[in-house]
Parts: sequence; structure tokens; C-alpha cells
Amino acid sequence: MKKRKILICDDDADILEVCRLILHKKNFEVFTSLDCESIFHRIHEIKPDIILMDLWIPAMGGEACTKMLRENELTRHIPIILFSANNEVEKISKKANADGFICKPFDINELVSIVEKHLAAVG
Amino acid sequence: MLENKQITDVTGTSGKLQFEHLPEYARFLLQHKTAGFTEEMMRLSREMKLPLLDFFKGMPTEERREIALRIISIFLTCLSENKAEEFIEMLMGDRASNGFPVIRREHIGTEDVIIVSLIAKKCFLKFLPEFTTEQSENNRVIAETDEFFSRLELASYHTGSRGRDAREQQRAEEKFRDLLDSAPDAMVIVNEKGNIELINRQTEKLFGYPREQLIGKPVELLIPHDFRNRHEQHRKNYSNEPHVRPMGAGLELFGLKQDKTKFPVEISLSPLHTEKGTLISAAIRDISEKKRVETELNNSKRELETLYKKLELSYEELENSYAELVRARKRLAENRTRFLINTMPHIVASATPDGALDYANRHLMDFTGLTFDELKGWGWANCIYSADIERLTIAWRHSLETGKPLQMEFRLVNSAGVPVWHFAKVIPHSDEKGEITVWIATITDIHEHKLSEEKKDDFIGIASHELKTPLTSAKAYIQLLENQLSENGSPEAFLYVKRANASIERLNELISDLLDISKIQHGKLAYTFSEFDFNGMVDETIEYVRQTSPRHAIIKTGTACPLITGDKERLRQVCINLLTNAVKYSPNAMRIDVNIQSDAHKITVSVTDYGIGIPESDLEKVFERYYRVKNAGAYYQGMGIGLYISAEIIHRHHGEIWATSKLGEGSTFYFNLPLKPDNP
Repeated sequence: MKKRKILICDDDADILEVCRLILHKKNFEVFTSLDCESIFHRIHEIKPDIILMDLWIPAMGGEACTKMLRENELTRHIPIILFSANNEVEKISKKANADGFICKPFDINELVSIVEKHLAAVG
Repeated sequence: MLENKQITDVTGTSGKLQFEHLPEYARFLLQHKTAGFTEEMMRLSREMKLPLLDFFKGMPTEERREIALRIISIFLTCLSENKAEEFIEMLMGDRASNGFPVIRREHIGTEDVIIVSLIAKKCFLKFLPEFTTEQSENNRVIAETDEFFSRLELASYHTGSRGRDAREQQRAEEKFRDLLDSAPDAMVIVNEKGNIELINRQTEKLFGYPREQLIGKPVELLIPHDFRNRHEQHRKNYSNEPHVRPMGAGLELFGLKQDKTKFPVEISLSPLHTEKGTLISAAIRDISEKKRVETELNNSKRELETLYKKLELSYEELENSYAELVRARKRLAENRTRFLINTMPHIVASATPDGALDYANRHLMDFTGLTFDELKGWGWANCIYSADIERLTIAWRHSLETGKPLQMEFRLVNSAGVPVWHFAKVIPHSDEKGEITVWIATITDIHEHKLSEEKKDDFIGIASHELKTPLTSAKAYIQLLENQLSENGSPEAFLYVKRANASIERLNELISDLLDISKIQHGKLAYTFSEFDFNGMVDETIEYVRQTSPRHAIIKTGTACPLITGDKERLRQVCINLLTNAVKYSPNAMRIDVNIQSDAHKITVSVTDYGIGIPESDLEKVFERYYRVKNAGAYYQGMGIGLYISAEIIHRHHGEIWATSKLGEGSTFYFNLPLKPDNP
């Protein structure tokens, strides 16, 4: 089975590392980024199946970045899941037109199941 | 016979006369008896040992006068019967000898009618006032008596002189002169021609003439020149119709001394009918002293009156000054109050019971740049920031309806159009009947405070986010470890890692609460209202708490209607809070009861524990921020903010939250939720 590619953007290296561990076990090819400065470049390079993005990501912030990706023809189709310690992440993700959200701290099973669910939705 | 019968009637069956019957009896005797009256009265007087005068006390004036005249006639009878002495005794009793030194035994019983009658007259005049009470009546009786006696005296004098030898006559005259000399007044007896016939020693003394220079001289010698002509005329008129009277009634009379000094006098006149014709006897009294005293009195009176007037004026002035002082003080107080109200660093305003602004201090106008006319009534609503206006007017109307004070933070728009945070406290003032008469508001600028609070909130927001970041990776690693240990680790290690996970969860909740608190403080706690299965939510919550606290049996009874509208996550937060509190504060109990009841209007949930309980005085306070059950801090964890957040969430759902408790026996926490929230 072809490994699914996931791009995780978070400013915290520990989080990136633990997410990589979790998702790698679930047969994901995990790519990480500490910011979203060169996000288009990374997407073009990696061609991720799904993006997991922190709300407070440096440079422009997860909300604006999601909006931007939604407006672009080339990235519009990629599911984006926002995750944050901010408990208003649900509201913000709806506003930014993200596909889903995860509250930090999360249950690892929950993380996997949400990612799986949105991947399944796009086929 | 008739008379005797009546006497018996009066004296009563005992035949003994009672004192109170005496006047009546005397009157009866007067009316029916002429002969023997004297004997009867004397007999009574003796028998009763009562002076005759005492018989008549308390009689009506008219009758007393009648009796006075009767007594005079009795006296005459006594005189003719040689019983004058007895009469005096009868008339006055002991008083005759004790009180009246002029009466001496040797005077009485002689044939000298004049002496005895004069003595009798004096006695009589002296004691007459005892039995008449009205002054005018008294005077009249005295005058009549006086006249009667005068006539008697002179008649006696002249009758007495007739047929007596010269020596006897001389003796009589001497006695008469002695008598005149013993009179306290100056006595001048004048004949019809106006010449002086007789004077007494007092006259010599008073006028300064020796007797010889006056006898035979016209009486006008004793009168100041400017009165003489008039006096002559008056004297002639009097001679034509003589009677006893005071002279020159209503006029000021003067006498003239030998040394030509004038002095004020009082004169009373009585005619004396004699063989020589009618003589006029004048009793003259020097009233200089009396006048002087009168004048002094008048002067003193006038002085007093002047003084009194001055005093009155001073008093009036004093009163005016005092009133002025009071006004000044009031003005000062008003000025001070106005000064205070206008300089204190708050907006102060008042409103009518229906909520219309009717006063505001200078600050409101200065701040908003509006005039009072623009602000009065409900005009003030124009200077409330648009985002706050609805919230404020709803609360204000609620206060007006319920009479409850209003406390609220809102933004007032200043004259430059910038919204500035203010805190308003509006309290009602009621009259003695409890009717609200006025609402008083103080509005304080809290903008700086608010900004620093916002900074603090931002900080709390960032801090909690930062805290959660390492927590996220810690939790994830722990979970990875847990997964691994569940496959091939020791059960002990697996237990430890599970506990570490629970602690991380607890830490996460605390951080979330902290964030919620700061949001509640600013009304920023977000709610998402939707329809959900309340029972299901409660069951899930109970299941969740059971997993973390397996020692306690949580027993649920009752159910709610299936669907309600509310924020499911927030209500779950409330249920978790109540259940974890129940667990936390009943470490030695095994049971927790959850009950759900619902009717057409609301759902009521109760959570009962059998733990340490809460003192009754603290029951209201448990919903305050940072409240902790006393002494609980040492044993139980938690920051005491859970109930505060729960209360906020329930109130936001228009529900109520409360608690009952008994110290040492446990507590029950209740909340209810209206099924059709007014403002979901």
C-alpha cells in the first residue's frame, strides 16, 4: 500500500516529533515544518495528501494560511486539519474553512482517527 | 305658733341647731321676726359660741347687705337697751378683745353713745369685709354704714350736749376730740358756710397749722389757689344734697400746707346733721407717699416696658441673625455638597423611578460633550457604545422592574467618539413606605484597569497556550508508552503510566479553567447552542468520572426530556465539575447520587455526596471565584474555580444553581435549566 503523505506544521519541535512517531506507526510518510513561510514550495515539493497545521504557526498564522491554501487552485483539494491548545479552535477552523480540528493536548487515537477520517473523505 | 314650728323645722328633730343651718335660720328670723330678734341671735351666738358675723359667711351678696343693715338696727336696739358690750361680743366673739385694742371695757356700758357707737363703727367697718366678698358691694355697704354712723354720732353728740351741765358737755367734747384725734386721717368738720368747725391733731400735723389758726377759717385755706373757686362751688352743691362719698372722684386732689407746699390727698366726705345745720366731715389722707410710689411704679413700669421693647427688638435681631446663620450654613452645606459632587472623580447622576435621567454632575456633560438637555430622560443612551447598549438597557429595565440595584461595566463614548470603559453602580432610594423615589448612579472610569485586565487576559491566554504545548507532547509520549506497556510491559509500569496520564489530564483541565475564568471576566466565554440529548450527555459524563474515580458508586435516578437546547460541552463541563467535586470532597464515602427531574418548564439536576459538607454561612460563597471549603486546601486539590465557572455557564443558560449542605454529612448541588431559554 502506498504510504500516505502528511505535512505537519507546528512551531514546537517536540510536537512535530511525537506526531511523526505516532503517524509513522500508522504507515504515514510524515513531513514537518516549523513555520509556514515557504508552504507552497513545500506542498509543491511533497504533494501531501493531508495537512495538519497549528493555529499559531509563525509567519502568518494557521487561520490565514488555511484561507490562502483554500483560495489557491493547486492546494484547494488538500484536506487541512487545524490543531491548537486554544479551545476555540473549532470555531476558528469553521471560519477558516478548514476540514477538521484537533484540540491540544490530544489523544493519539483521536489524532489518528481524525486524520484517517478526512483522508477517507477525499478518497 | 307658726314661727315656733318653723324654728323647730330648721333646728331639726334633735332640736339642736346645726352650724350649716345658721344662715338659713338667721334669714328666717330676719324675715319673720322683728321683736326678740336680738335676744334670739344673742342666745344662738352664746349657745353656739359663734360670733354673729360667722353666721353670715357664704350668703349671697344681696342678703348679706340686708343683714348688715339689720345688724346695724340690732346694734341701735342694743344701745338703747344698754347691751352694747354684749352686742360687740356677740358680733365678733374673741376677736373683740384680741384683735381690736380700741375696745376697752371702760368704754362700754357708759351712757356715752358717741364713744360706743364710734367703737362699734370701727369694729363693724373692720370686720365687715369678712362677710362681703365683692369689693364694689363692700364699698357700698361701708359707705352706707359710715353715713349711718356719722349721722348717729353727730345726733348723739348734740342730743348728748343738751340738758347736760357745762362740765359734762366739755368732757363729752373732749372725748369726742380724743376720738377724732385717734383717727388715722386728718379730720376736718366744716359748717354750711364753709368755715372750719373742728379739726383733729392729724390735721395740724398734716397742714402745719396750729388748731387756733384754722378754727373758724374758710376751709379753702387748705386748698391750693387754683382749686379754690371750683371747690367753693362743689362744696355748695354738696351741701344742698349731702351724702357720704369720696370727694372729686376721678380727679387729682391737692392740699396746701402752711408753708405753701402742695400735696396730693384723698378725701371722703360725710354729712353730719345737727341742730346747727348740716356739717360736713372730711377725712383727708396724704397720699404723697402713695403717689410717689405710684409714680415710681409707673416710671419703673415704663422703664420696664422700654426695656422689654428693647429686649424684644434684640430678640428679633437675634432670631434674624440665627436664621441668617442657618441659611448661611445651609448654603455652605449645599455649596460643599455641590462642590463635592462636581469635583469627585466620578460621574454622579440620578433618575426618576421610571428610569429617566433627571440629574447629572458636570463630569457627564464634560465627558460626553453633550448638554444636560441632550442627556436627560433616556437621552443618555446616545452616549453608550453601540456594542453595550442592548446589554445595558436590558439590565436597566430589569432593575427598574425589580427594584434591584444595577452593577455593570460598559463603554461610554467620549466627546471625541472614543468608547471608554466605565463601571456603573445604580441603587434605588426608597421612602419610608418602601416606594422607590429616586435612583442614584455613580459611574467610574475603569478604562485603565480594564486595559490592564485585558493585558492580563492576553497573558493568561498566551501562558495557557504555552503551558499546553509541552503538555501535548508529554501526553502523546505517555500514551505511546502506555500503548507499548499494554502489549509487553509489567502491569505495575502500566499502572504508573496510566496515573501519569490522569495527572496530565488534570493539569490540562486546570489550565482550561484558568483560561475560562479570564474569559468569563470579560464576557468572552464562547457558547455554541444546539439541540442535544441531555440524558445521554449526563450518562457519558458519569461514565467518564467512573473511569477516573472507580472507588465511588455513582447512582443516577430520573430522566430528562430527550432533547434540550444548550451548549453541550459547557454543560458537560458543569456536570464533570459537580461530580468531581462530589468525589473530591467525600473521600470516605462510597456513594454519589445523581438525580434528574423534569417538568414542562425545566430540568433540575442534583448531585449529592456524603462527604465533609459546607458550613451554612458559606453556602452562597461557594459559587464565588477562588472559594475553597475551609481547611480543605490542606487535603484536597483544586483552585476553587470550578463552581464559579459552572455558575457562569448555568446563568448563561438562564438557569439557577444552588447548594444545600450539612457539615460532616455531605452536600447536594442543584442546577436547573429552563426548557425554553429566553435568550439561547
